[in-house]
Amino acid sequence: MKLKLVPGGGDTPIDCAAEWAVRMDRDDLGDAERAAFESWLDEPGNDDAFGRANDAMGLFDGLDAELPELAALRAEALAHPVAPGRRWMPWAGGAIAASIAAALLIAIQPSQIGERSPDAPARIADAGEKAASPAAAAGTRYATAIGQQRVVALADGSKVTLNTGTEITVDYRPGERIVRLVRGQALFDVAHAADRPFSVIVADRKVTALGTLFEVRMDKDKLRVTLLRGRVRIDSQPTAATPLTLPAPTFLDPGEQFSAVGHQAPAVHSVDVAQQLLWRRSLVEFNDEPIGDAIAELNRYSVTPIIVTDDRVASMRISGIVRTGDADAFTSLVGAMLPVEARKTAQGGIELYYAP
Amino acid sequence: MDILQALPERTRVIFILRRLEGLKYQDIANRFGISVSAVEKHMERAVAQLAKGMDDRL
Repeated sequence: MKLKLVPGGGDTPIDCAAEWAVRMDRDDLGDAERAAFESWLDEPGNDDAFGRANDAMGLFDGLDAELPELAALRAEALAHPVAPGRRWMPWAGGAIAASIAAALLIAIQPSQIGERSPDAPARIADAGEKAASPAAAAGTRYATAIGQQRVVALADGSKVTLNTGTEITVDYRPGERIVRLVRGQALFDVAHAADRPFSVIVADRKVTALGTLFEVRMDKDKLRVTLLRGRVRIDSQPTAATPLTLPAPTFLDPGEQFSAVGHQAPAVHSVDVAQQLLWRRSLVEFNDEPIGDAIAELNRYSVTPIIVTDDRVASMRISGIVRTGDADAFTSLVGAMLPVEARKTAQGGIELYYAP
Repeated sequence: MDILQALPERTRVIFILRRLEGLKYQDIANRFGISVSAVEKHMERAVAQLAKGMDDRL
């Protein structure tokens, strides 16, 4: 494989971003390439350019390839002459393709707007969905479906980025701003207002921003708070299950992550913040992680899960960056590195099995 | 506004074969009798142009 560590000099950020997106689409990045990619991503403007290129690469993601419009596109592409001057089937004609492309754009539009319009007025989530829990009863509710992300601009100028399968409620009062994370993962970019503290309530804890960019994630019984900028204070909230004497609050510095499982004592440790936030670019990075854990992470983004029933496979370790929602890319990455193959299940998911 | 249709014909076909049909880069190269790096160039052009086109819509 040809290695060109820094995509083309003199290109626009979008052209470089397209090169990186294609590199990842073709093959997994090696360690050196991943390091080069991350430092490229850190440069001003590249992050946004890559998000756009990645959206373009994922134009068809999440759509059923058997849909009539997409089947027609595939048929047209497959019928395209395979060698110069040689035609297999008559050309389908531009008019059909044009109407198909228009339909595709409509299909992807809602998530595009959510992702690309952080300054748009706050919108209430899909009216069809019902509030999932009593905690959601108060305040304005915002939610994402599985595989979806959106940016919500709040009235005070704060910005919340919701990851897949996430629900928050926003309850702004004169003296305080309260957001409840009902489920999932969200990144909070908080507008400073000293007389009106901003707090996120999650499970039995309250995270208070002290001028800040931070992320909160809740999986089943595991809670994580990651601080990128500023400072946060994490307090335990009294509940029926907790003793009257609450533990002392925890303060985080940038680059630190607080994690708590159930009622065990929480831990604070340093994390790679850039890696933690790749989800905003629809990417997830694995660093020598068991396949079982990698799959649990990827399945957060997909309604057709990858499954593993063989512990030999689940315990093998893998490294790489993959696009969320692209199960095929993940299985081919695993298949290329390890004695593992993939097959479709009757339910439409993908099963990984041991294939020595 | 027709961003897919705005791509050059072969670039569009290659993008669809890869992203919708799921063919590998090598298979697409074999199919058209071109190099893998030529397939990559088509893909890069498709992604860059689609990214710009999607942006213009909003």
